[in-house]
Amino acid sequence: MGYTDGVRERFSRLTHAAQPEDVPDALGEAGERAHGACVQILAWQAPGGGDGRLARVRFRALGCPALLVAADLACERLEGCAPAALAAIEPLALHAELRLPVEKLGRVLLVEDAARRCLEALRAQQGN
Amino acid sequence: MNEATPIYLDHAATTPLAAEVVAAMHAVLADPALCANPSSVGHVAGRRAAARIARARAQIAGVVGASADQVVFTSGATESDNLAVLGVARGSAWRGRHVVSSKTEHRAVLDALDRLEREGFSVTRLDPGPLGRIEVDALADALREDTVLVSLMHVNNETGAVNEIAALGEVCRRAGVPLHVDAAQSVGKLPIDLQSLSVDLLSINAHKVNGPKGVGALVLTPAARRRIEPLLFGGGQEEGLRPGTLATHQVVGMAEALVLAEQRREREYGRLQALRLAFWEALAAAGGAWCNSPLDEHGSPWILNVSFDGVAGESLRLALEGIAVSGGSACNSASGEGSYVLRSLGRSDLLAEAALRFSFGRETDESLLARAAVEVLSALRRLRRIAPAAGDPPTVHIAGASG
Repeated sequence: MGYTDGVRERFSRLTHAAQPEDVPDALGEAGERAHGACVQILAWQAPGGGDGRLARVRFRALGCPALLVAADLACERLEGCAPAALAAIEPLALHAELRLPVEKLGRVLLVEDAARRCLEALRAQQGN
Repeated sequence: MNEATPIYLDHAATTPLAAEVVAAMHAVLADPALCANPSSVGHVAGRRAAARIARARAQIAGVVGASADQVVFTSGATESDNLAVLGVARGSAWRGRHVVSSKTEHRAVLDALDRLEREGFSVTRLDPGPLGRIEVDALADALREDTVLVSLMHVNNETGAVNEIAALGEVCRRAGVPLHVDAAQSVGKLPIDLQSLSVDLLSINAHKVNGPKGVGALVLTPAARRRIEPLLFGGGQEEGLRPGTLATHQVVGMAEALVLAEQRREREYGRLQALRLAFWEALAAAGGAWCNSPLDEHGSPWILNVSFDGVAGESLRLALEGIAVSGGSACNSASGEGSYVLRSLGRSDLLAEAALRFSFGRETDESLLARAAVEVLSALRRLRRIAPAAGDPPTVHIAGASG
């Protein structure tokens, strides 16, 4: 497992992992559990009719450490952002920041897909 | 993260030196009278070293029911495997060019077989049966007129499944084909008596039973000796079969370790069998646990291989940095390949990838395994809580059981 100390440290904490009982405003999912890699991005908007910023962003994931830490870092960065940020994740930048092995880029792309779907879910909910 | 003192449960990879072995090796290293080349029998110092080697050779032979002149020292079981497979096949090529082995052998055998194929040999690689063992009938069916060697491991290094080498050897003996057995995971742990077994070549080492790395032996019958060719040349040591200056302290350490292991073998077998069962029961409490090792007499008490539902193997291993444990076998871990052995047991790729091989040794006790179980259960709980919800609730599965 060619992970840096930083990745190992983040993996040991995963501060942005969702709790099983969490019910978000919107949820986006990518990957397949049957293939051993799936991730969900869960988002809550600030209550009280504010500017709609993401008050809380969490993840659920089944997969390798690269997937878990990429999701954790993405959630950390998304908190406090406008919802459009969910569609603006830069997977190459995440991959580089975490100094993940090159073969793990696909896992970071899953995080990007899940975040985009989360935004779609959020907008669909608001359109209803 | 616990970088400090991990709980060591990787004894199938290697073991710490026993204090008695350290003392025996130190006694040789520190004794100027034993510094000479044991091949230099023209002077008294060389003869002293040679005598120490001879004593160790006899001790090692005694552990496996052989005579001292059957023991050829090597650098370890990998070299012994190479010497047996390549040496016998090449030395018997005038009789035939077919070798039988299994798909679940150690890479020291599998890669040697690949080499033989490139040299024009034909190789039959048997599939393991249920529980990962090679079935006697499958071996009998695979033998041909031109078969010159059968090579099978005694104990599977991933699951601990024990091959019936007595019955497999009888099949080979009836067919007049020499049997090579890789006993790296069994010597000093299971009874091996070459006087009663139809085994012609036996690869052994000591570092799985608290002996030194870097030394091993190939124990072979006179008939096998007549068929085998050396891989190395120059010097004439080990009757020309494995030239090179013997390291007296290594050989002495190997003998000490094997003698100690043999003395403790029956007691350790019973003790570890009980500990292994208790450890499995503790792990099974997590639910979604699959035991990939035979838990009865068909499995080595030194190895417990377990897969877990609902987690990715790589994450589980990283979450268990406080435990020195192997994912499948060490060689599979290095290559990143899924375990063929576990898939042959019917495990999915995901379960095979999520397998942990816990392996036990002399230092393993109840309190250590209790700590390890707590760490594993804690890591499983944490990773499963993070995972998206699955369907069915976790259950427990045991190798060989239906379903």
